[in-house]
Amino acid sequence: MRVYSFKKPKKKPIFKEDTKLWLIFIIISLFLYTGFGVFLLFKAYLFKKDAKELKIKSIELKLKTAELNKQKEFIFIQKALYENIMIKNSLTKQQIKNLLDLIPDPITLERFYIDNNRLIIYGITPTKDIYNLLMLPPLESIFEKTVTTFYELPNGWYKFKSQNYIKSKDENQTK
Amino acid sequence: MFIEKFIKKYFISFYKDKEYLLLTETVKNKKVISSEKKEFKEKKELKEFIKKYTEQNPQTYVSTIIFTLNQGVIDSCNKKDYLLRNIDYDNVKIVCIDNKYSFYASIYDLNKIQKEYRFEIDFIYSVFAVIDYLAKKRKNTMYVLVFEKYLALLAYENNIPKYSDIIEMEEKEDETEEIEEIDDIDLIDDSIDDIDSIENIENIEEIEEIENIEEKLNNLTTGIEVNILNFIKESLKEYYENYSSDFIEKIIILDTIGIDIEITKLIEDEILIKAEYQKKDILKTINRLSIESL
Repeated sequence: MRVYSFKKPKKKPIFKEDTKLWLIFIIISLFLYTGFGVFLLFKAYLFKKDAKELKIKSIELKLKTAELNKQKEFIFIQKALYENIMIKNSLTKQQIKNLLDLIPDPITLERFYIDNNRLIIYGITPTKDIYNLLMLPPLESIFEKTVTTFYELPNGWYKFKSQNYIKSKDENQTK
Repeated sequence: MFIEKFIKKYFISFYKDKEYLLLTETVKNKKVISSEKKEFKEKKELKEFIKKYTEQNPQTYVSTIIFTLNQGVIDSCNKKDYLLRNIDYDNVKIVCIDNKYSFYASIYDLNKIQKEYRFEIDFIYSVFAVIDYLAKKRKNTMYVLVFEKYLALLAYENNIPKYSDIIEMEEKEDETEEIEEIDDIDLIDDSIDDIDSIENIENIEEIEEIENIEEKLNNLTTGIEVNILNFIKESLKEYYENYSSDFIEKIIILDTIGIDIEITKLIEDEILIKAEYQKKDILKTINRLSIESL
């Protein structure tokens, strides 16, 4: 095409000034919307990832709790056992103390066995009477059954073996 | 640009003839989809309209033509030829066409037009450039572009425009005075002689002929046809004397205002050169030039 004009036209803007402003605002807001959308998507992704991790953690923790509960139960059982033993020990201690308190001065104690429901005492007494008078009554008051056997020593004293029984619980129940 | 196919562009062409004439065209992909014509009496109204229009539509291209006397055509684009014709090469703006011929206009006039209207004018055309764009037949042809106030003439030797001239017509005076002026023209004298001899004619055909001549006479009272005839006569004289030895074979009248079609007969009778009449919408042509050069 031949150009006949003495002047060349300036480049024209496609949009009006106010349309341009509107477009800039729309583009900025679109950009913000998409930016915010991407941010939300990213956040959601992170949350999902965290949720997965937390789920796994919670399962792990549940497993751990179960284990700990088991351990706890075991410890409780042990504690009960310990207490039982402690009580038993203190009882035994008390019993031994009581037993030793029972032994009158003239009688010498050689050895003794304490069982759950049985007490066997070995010792030396100057006379049978001393034993029967001073030792037998308290034994009889504690135990259900007391069996004493004497063995005379060359010096005239007596070795004795006193077997004392407490009625066992089973026996009580059967009765 | 690809996107430009889908963007509406607006083209405004205007020029000041007797009044300010303006045409707006909405164009999409180089096709006109709507147009509106306007006329303004005051320059202020035109300025306001174009200012508002360009503010509303940034893709508006404003075009106009200049009618200044300091413009023309030269059958060369060289500085030498300009200087040979006594044209100050440094003070004119030149549009070279096909490296064969060029249109020029004074830079001062171009700046003046820009200052005069204040709004941005995108395309300024020489009135001869518009004729050149419209000229289909070029070999030894003379084109006369007729406005209310101006007559522009472009003569082609072979296919190159050789001679151009523009005149500004004076305001019409009273009709009675014009008829007196017309007396100077030989043709009218002959016609009046014919009218005088009506009584001697018995043939009806002859009477009809006389009636036609009477019509011609009435038409000529508008004055513009006379001006055109005189202008063509003077231009032909100048053309043959200083520009070309080839005879003009055809005169084509490009009319923008609606002159009498009979002008062709008058030219043929008076100058003995074949004449043709074409009605043209110059505002449309100006816009077309701008649309195509974008």
